[in-house]
Amino acid sequence: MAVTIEHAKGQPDESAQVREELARLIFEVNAPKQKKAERFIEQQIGGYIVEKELGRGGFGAAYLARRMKDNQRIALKVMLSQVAVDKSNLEQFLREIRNVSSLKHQNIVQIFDFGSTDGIFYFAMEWCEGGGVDRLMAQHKGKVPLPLAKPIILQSLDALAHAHSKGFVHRDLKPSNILLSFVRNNIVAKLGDFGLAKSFEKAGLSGLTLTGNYAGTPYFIPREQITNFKYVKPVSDVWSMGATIYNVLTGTFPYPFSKDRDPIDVILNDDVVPIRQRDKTVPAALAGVLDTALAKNVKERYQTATELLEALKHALQ
Amino acid sequence: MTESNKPLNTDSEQVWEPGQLLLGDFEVQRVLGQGGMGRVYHVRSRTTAMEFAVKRALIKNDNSRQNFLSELQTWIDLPEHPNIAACRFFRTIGDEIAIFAEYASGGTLADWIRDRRLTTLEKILDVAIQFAWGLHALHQHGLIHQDVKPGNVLMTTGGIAKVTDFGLARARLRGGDGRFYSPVAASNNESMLANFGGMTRAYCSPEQAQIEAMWKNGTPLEALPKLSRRTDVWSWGVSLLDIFYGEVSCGYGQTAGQSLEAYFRDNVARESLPRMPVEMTMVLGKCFQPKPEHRWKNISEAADALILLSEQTSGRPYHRQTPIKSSTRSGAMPSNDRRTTGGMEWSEPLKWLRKAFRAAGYDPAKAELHIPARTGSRRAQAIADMVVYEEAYRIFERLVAEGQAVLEDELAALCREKAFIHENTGDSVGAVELFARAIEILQRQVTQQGRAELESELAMAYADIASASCNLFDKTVSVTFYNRSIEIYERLVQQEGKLELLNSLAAAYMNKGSVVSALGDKITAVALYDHAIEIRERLVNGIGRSEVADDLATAYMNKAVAVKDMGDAASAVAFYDRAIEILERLGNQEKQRKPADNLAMAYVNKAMAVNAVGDSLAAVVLYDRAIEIWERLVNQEGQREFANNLATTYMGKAVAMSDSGDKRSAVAVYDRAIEIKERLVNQEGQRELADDLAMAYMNKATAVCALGDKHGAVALYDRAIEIYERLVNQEEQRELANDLATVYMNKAVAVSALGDKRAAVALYDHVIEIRERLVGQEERRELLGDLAWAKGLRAEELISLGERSKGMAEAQEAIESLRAEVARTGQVDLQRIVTRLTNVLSKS
Repeated sequence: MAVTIEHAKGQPDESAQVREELARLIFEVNAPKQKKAERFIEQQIGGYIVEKELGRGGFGAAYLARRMKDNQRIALKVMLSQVAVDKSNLEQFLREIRNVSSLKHQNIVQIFDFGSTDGIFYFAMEWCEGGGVDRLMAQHKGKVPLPLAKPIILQSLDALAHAHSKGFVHRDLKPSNILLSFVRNNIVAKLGDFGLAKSFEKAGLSGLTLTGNYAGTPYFIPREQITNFKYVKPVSDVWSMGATIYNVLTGTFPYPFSKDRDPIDVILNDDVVPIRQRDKTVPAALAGVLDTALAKNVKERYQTATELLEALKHALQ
Repeated sequence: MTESNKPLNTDSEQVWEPGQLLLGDFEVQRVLGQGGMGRVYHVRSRTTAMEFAVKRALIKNDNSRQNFLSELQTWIDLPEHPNIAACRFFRTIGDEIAIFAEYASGGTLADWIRDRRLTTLEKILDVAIQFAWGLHALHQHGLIHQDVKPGNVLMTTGGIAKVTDFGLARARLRGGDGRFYSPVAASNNESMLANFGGMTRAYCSPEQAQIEAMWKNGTPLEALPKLSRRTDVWSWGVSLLDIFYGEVSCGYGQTAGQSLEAYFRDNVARESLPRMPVEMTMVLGKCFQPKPEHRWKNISEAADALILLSEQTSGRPYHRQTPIKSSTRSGAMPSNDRRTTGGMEWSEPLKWLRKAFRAAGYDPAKAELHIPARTGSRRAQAIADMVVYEEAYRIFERLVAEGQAVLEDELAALCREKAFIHENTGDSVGAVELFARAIEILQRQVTQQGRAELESELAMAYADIASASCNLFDKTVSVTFYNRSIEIYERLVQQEGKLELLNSLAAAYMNKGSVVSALGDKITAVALYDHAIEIRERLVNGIGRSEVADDLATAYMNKAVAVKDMGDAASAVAFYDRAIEILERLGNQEKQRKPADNLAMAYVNKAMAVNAVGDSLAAVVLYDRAIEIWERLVNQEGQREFANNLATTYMGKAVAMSDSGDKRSAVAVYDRAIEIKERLVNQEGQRELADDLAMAYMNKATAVCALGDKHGAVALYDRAIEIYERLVNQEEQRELANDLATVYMNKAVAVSALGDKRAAVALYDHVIEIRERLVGQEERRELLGDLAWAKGLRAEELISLGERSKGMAEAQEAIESLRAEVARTGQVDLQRIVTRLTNVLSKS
């Protein structure tokens, strides 16, 4: 059984039923068990039957699953808590997830439901059959041609602008977090993983505060977020979106990373490479917008996704 | 056995759940932290109640086992140091090795940061300085920690910081040869490492991150840059930054310089934390220099800068002194000292490994390659030996399991010697298990194979297990084992004429006597000691076995203690005299060093007995003789383990002097005792001696008070109160609560003598409050008399303050309670106070 999300405005509902559910979650999470992800295949989690693995992330894996009540396909993200969780952390996490699930937009992956069973957390989400943009890049030998990339870029930015207007910051934008599906032969891009991983981490459920080892590579993270990992502002999402577009179009990263150098050292001490130095075919107007989005100094950037979107629409006309 | 004893066959580590029992004895309490190699758990022994931090390492094959054990060396070879958490022993659990290390009950520095427990600059600096001292000791030992972070610093509740190595620094520098070493290559990638070099991203230095990137990119080991101790300086700085941030300060350690800037630029107020002073910024700035050569050369220099800062801000000298370097002394340690405190010896480990190699068909000459270089303390050496014994033991057990029954004798002997090492490292449970294995083998050989020649070894093994188990289980279990041992020895001596076993028989009688004595049966104990004495007298004086003389003296001393416990101090003195006579003669004859501490102990014991019968002057003379010996052992021969004995002997002498009326001299002697105990408690981290120290202050105060210096006495009582308060209220040593009340009462008497009756009444209130709680909540009925005593004294003060009716009523009540207690318990000293109160009442 899962906690049913109520899309209530304002304070989350603290009804007796939810509190009871919290108590049950705390009890279960307090007895963490490490489980091999393969175990979940063809098993029931909540009201879902797991079919196959879609991919792995920092704290767990994503699966294709079927909702038992109506047989609909959904993506099921499963996270394992690495530590015994105290009540306040758990409440904070659930509050954030409830908040994030209130975010509704045709270009944002919708969270339908979430819950906990057997010491794991699961999230039922919209399934995007097209996979991530990273897959699309691979299909096109590393970079996506501009005409194909254009709708993806504009839709993702529209979604991000919506999220920013509601006070949400993504913090982990990258090609693999933009998911694709198709509606009547039209490509539809959807931003995924909104705050899930970060909230999990922030609530101390990942065990990272215990180990101090932060997962992931910093290719799409702006300098200010590297030097101050608590810095959470829309303007950092602007940089990450700029880096994502840069990557989608050129197959390279804004910073001159090289395999035998510590990437953090590169971010701290090197400058972003203007996109036209990577690929002369990028139109000058577009290049100008991306270079501004990727300014080192936050004040020189577009301040919100809306500003970036307007500039891009203009440049891509 | 328990679930965890099953061999593990997965890559992922099996989670230990709180409450789970390991090795049948160690109960898992909680996860303390995460190392590069696995989790670290807090465990508590069910039998001994001792607590440990246990680190786990999954070992996939013999190769990595050997690698791992030699890595373990780096850690156990570290010198004894108050700011380093020592490794105690290790055990094998299936495919894992569990390392049992010193546990500090305050959690880790990471916990302290999260809970914001370091609320003043002084406290922060104190931790930072100790942290640096611990790292400095590692560096002096040629080690680079490489995973310095708050989670790797254990805290005692009293605020002592101990650097530990939860990941067991794998890449290291040895003796300054500057080579970057990693078992990743050493073991052909059969590594037990979870991550490269064991570093933690949030604390790593730029050069560590750079090396990691190059390594991942395929740069060969030889071509990687070398790390220096200054990588630890960087990570130490990051850890201190965390303290001021009150949380993790950097996502990536490399950005520490930016985080330091941000601290001031963003000017974020940290709730309940002090601001970082500018001087601190300079110290940290020098940690965060991108080029290692621009950082602090020695972390001790950074510590010195912080000491200066601490003294400037607090206006008083920093209260800890740089710990004594023990590394210089290690060379003087006898490298062949393989003995338990009980005097049991184990062989040179190479002997066993050679035997094991020969039995397994390996080249015995290769065994030498597996012997780690020995350095450091006695304990480090014991653990180094255990590593080799473990190897040999595994080979023998495997061969025996494969059917080579002829090796069983050897295995039994190996078990017995290995058990001594476990005992020596504080792992009595492990020792008992091994003795039991030896007994099982020997018993089977004797009864089924008719191997009568193994009977003496069986008797020995029973005596061993009896001795190892006497503090673990119900002591009657130990007595049963001794009986079994004695029975075999007696038969071998009486029926088979094996007179060479006589001293072993005497030892079994004596040791059984000690256990029986501890069970309270002094009469039987004395009879058992007499058995031992009789046998040993015959050996020493009858057939001239002078090497047994030391043992004979010990038997006399034990008898004296038992006799004194029975109330016969005069006879005890006579037995001590006999022991002293034997030991003195031995010392003169053979210039033996070993009995020196025995002799000193005999003097101290006799002094106590002599003082008990009222001859305090004779006691002082005896204490002086003991002091002379302890001083020589501690200060000339560097046997610092006797320092506490020395201090305790000074205390005894001071008490005797005070009893003899010479309070002035007593005060000087108390000072000497206090000086030593202060050093042991505050600089060498022997917190368990803190209550002794408080007692010394209290005794000195009483002597000073008697000399008329009431103000001085009050100051000393306050010092004692400060220590007891901390022990009782912060470290929850409830059993000291009544001692605390006693100091308050003594202080009240001194304050009253100074004329401040109101303050005295307030202090009595406090005493009464503590004792009422003890009597009421903890049912300490034996304190009823003490409680009434305090009430009586308060009543007296109230009367003198003019609150006559209240005072008189309370005095009357106290008298009744005291009389009832005298009648119930026969405590005659309470009668004195009754008389005194009666006088007060009649005068009023």
